[in-house]
Amino acid sequence: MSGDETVFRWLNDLAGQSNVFDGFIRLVISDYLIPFIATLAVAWLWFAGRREEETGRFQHAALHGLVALGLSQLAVALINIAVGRPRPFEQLPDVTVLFYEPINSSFPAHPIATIFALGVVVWMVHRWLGTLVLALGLLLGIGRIVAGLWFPTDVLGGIAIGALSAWLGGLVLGRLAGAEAFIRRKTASLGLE
Amino acid sequence: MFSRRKVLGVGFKAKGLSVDRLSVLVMFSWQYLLMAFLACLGIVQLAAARSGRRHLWLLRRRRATRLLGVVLVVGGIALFYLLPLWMAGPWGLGQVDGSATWATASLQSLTAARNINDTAGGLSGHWQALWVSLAWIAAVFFARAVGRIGNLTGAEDRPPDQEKRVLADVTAGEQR
Repeated sequence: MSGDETVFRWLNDLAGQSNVFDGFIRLVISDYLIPFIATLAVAWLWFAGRREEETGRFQHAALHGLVALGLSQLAVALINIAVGRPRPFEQLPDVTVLFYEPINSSFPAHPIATIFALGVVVWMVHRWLGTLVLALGLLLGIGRIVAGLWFPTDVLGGIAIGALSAWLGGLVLGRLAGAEAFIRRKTASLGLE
Repeated sequence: MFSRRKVLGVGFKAKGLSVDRLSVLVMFSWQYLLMAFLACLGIVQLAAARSGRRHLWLLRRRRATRLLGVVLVVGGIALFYLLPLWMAGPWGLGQVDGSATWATASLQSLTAARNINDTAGGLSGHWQALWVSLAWIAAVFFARAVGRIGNLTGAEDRPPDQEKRVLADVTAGEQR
């Protein structure tokens, strides 16, 4: 048994022991909760800057988050085509499943890549909010292993892609300074700065 | 390849109609859009309260604006997850297929109620991105429109540190 499978078994064995715990896991692994909170954190940055310098930094980070988000989606789509790894419940016997059974590739963990791309960007300008988003992302990753949907390496892959997308997003946005200035001018003219 | 697994589900409260994907998608979309709008409006309030952008405040005091922000974010999300208790839908473990039934969720099945596969009418990432973007735009313009009414009645944009200085001056003047 590989290390990946050992850790998977250890976590998946926690499922089905308690209704309260299973209910909690079903909530935190929802498609609509933690990814939505991560998006709200990035949205918050747009209007949260107190001084001109902070506003500039926060709004730059919000745009950085959008670019990183796009890059992470592209990376996941390409890797899904190349890898196509079956889910744990498709590969292993006696897996307890607490969720619907997704039909796409297990690797990389798509929502984790999304949340980490956003979380790293938020963390760069606002430490505690970024830490909160990253911690929630980690909770989602662990929860979905418990629920029998991912292997631990799927989660690690998602984290790596998210962090890499955030780094690449910064480089891309650096090259698009003109576009960033245009967006900020337009939003300012609409009174949305 | 073999597949032996235990799917831990929770039963429906009542058996009823069969489910089709489009009706689930439509119902899910407006409920998600409502949550996204309320939560985005809350986030605008929290951010504007922090930065002192009064033209986006729905209320006239900073503390009240901040509190309203928290209520809208938490309330919007809670409403989305609690709604299946009162509204019938394909609730359960999310395995909505031809055999699924349309019913309200029980307390026991509540946390699983929103776990519905995209293939059965749940929202894919693209739909979510679309609704959140629309909700964000609507929330910002709503806050701006209401904030403008507030501005017409006397409130104005003021950076928080300047506001503190003015407050300190007023307090010092009163003590003198």
